[in-house]
Amino acid sequence: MKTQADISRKKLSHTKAGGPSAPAGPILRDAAWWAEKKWFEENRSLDSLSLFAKYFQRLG
Amino acid sequence: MAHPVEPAVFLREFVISLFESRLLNGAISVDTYHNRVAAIRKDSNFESLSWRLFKDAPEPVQVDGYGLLRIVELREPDGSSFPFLQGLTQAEPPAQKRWTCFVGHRFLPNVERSLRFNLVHLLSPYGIDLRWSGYDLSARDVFAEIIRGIESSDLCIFDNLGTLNRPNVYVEIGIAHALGKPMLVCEYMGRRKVPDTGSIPSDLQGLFRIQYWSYQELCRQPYFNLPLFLDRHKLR
Repeated sequence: MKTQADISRKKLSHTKAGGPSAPAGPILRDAAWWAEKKWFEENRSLDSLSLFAKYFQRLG
Repeated sequence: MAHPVEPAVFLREFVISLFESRLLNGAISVDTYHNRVAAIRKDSNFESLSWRLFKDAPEPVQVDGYGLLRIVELREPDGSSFPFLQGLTQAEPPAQKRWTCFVGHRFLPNVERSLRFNLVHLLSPYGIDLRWSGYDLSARDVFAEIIRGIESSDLCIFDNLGTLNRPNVYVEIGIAHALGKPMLVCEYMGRRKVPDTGSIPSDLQGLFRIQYWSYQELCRQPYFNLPLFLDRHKLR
């Protein structure tokens, strides 16, 4: 049976390239990218508003 | 502050757009994104916080101890305004931690008034001061001044709105590229509205490029990518 995540994944794979939501270019997976990915994993228990605020707090 | 948007709808859409941008750059998974979206739609805190944010704007509102958020009004090139959700640091960075960003764009009053105003709001709270270009490159000393401005900056932002027959901004992108400056290149895609806009040369399309249809969109993408961009170029 398909899960909601499977359906969503399929929908995303059919998104046309070049639209406003399409990635603008190749993903550069450098140390900064891995650090950001790790930051999101470490803070996954926060609710979205707190995570949003904390994300920009990082710049200080 | 009166706005033609429903506060909770605006707040939810704005926060979801941060997660969408992180989904597209690969920092979060598809499952995580959809879990976030579902939780945001059910979270009643968005109702109460959104009304406070709009009622108190532009005063900041504390979110749980994780930081301050506020709503500011930014500007489209046509002079209209749009709300923007800004996350703030507790205090401005000290003077020794400040960076300079060179901004290259078409020298038009409506672009100046809106783009500069928007970028100051987005970048200055995080210790990034702006330096402008925008003069006629035919004056030799002005050209030298632009080169000095790019050379002495830590990063650059270029916007190609209205540059079809005024390719100065592409010359500036080339200078910044030759000098190895980190840069964000913003490409206006809504040509029906502003026919006087060219496109980024194909040789430059590997740069950190943001395609946009409105300044509302232009403001979000650099803002959401700012922490990653600054880390990537060791600017904090």
